[in-house]
Amino acid sequence: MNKYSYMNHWMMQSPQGLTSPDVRRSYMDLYLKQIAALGFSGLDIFSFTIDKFARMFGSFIKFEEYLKDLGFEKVSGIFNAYIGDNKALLPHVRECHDAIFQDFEEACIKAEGTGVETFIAMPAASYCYCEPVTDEKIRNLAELWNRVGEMTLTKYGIHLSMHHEFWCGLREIEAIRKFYRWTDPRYVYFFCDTAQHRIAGVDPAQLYDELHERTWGFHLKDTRDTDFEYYRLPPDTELMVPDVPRWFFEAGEGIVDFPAVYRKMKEHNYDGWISVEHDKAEIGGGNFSECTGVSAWYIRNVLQKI
Amino acid sequence: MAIKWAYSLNAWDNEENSVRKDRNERTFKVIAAAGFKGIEMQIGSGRWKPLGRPLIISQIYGGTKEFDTYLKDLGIEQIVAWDYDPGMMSGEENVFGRDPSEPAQHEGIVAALEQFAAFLGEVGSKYLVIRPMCSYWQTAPVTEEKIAAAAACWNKVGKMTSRYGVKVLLRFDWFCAANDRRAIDKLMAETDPELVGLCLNTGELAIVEIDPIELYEAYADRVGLLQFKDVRVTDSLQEYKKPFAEEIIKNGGERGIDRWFWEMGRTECPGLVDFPTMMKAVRAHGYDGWIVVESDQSADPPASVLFNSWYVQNVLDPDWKLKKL
Repeated sequence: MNKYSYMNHWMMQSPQGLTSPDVRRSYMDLYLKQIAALGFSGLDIFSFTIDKFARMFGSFIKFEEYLKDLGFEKVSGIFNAYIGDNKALLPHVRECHDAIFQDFEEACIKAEGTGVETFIAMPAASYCYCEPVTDEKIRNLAELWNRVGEMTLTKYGIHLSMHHEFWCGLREIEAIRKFYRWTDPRYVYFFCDTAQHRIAGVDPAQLYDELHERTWGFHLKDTRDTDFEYYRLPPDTELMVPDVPRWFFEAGEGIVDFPAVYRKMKEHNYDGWISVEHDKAEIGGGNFSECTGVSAWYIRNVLQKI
Repeated sequence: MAIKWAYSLNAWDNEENSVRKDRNERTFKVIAAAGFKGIEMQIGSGRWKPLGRPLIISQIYGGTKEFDTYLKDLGIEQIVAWDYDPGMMSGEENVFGRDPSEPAQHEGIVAALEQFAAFLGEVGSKYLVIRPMCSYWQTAPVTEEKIAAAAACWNKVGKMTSRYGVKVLLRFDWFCAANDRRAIDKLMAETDPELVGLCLNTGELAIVEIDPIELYEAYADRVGLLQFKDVRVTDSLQEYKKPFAEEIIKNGGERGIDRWFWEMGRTECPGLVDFPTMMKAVRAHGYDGWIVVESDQSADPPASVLFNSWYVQNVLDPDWKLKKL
């Protein structure tokens, strides 16, 4: 049976304007009760917030206990990405692999004792920081993630899954296919972000169909645009593309064919986490509570009936 | 029978969030996703209140039944009630408000409300929620005669609405001329229990230092509807008596209160209403009707809906718990 988690991008109004809720305990309470109320079982977080939550709640384990008190089951996933601004942490550069490996092992140690079962990681840096994307670089990426995935799974029981942003080095279908051919299916899994692939011109239902045996999660979000021109734009394509101030919307509010994705899930008996995400929903006055409510409505009333 | 939970639309109160059909649909989806199966609507006028009159609803949705079906398709099973303030301006009726304590205006009030009673009857709703008297500052002195006249008005309205299977419920609010026990008790005593009941709003009572639990205990057999919201301070300066007192809601009055009414169960600053005890009283009397949650004055209505839902599911009514996604 599928379980739903929420990927933490929440922004809320405060007396100081928009803020992330992780700056204050009472804001966390206000935020997380809303997510729990809608029936989410898991929370996915960014790796850089582990220490923050540990400070706020006494330890990372106590943070998870707090989530359980609210009605969650666990922290389900941890997201990590090496964007490319730090040249010591470039996944396609072999000399950086030890540092990235160590970074993941530290995150595993911090998560010990909790229910975290998935790493969601961007496989390559931003396109502009690793182009041209050659076979040699893809092989370097495969080598890194094979090594990291073997460690996280065999030592810590956490699956490593790859999440392909439309602006990352592995965005095109042939590059993605090569990457999964050259990685070990025992250790490197696929995480299907419906909107990111759709923006890059890759059909998420078809890609999931190809990689269903290696799929370890979904980000359920929509988009209204594609991009074949600006994905190289530094420093942050998501924010810099002319005429597209906001890329991501609630499932069912854009051009992703979610019924097709769910039909494929059903065909392959998918039985894992599905994470609702709408990063940067605040752009243009969007409201995270409303977006999440509308997403939950769409899941219950449309997708779960497929 | 289980208690049923609904949400009031009164939190969506500006042109950005309460007028367009697509915006209202997002509101309905959030309410439904949070588990609330009913909505309460407010009677209004013109372009500012598209869900405030049967005619406009028909223009947007194609008819009363069509609107009801549309809501059901979204997961909203019942329009629980319509709220009416006789003092409101109505372009459609060419009035700047009517006063139920003026016997000469009763006929106009009864006539004005018939279309709403018919609408409610058509969608299977049982209640028309009424503000029983105009604002205190407009009505004072609040004499026995004025109260009796208002009671007579609602008996007449109740007689009319009963033809549609709809009962009138009196809702006593902060600024209403009937905002103390003397006036409330007299209105309840002089209205026909068969035609007129009570809609008890926790926050509106607590703010004028009336204990909602005590009032509920006194009139449990006449309560048709409950409205839950919290409040953090009372109007201890009795600013409701000042001219144009309603402006205090936004300007905060002499103490500069930024917001009077709040969600239930806010941990950083607990409110004044004891909801768990209120629920015990409600259950003790076997109440099995609707409880409407309100969050008027919320800066973020969708957030209030979800937060209140968590409180209901986890504190007030664990039987109401939503299934996991």
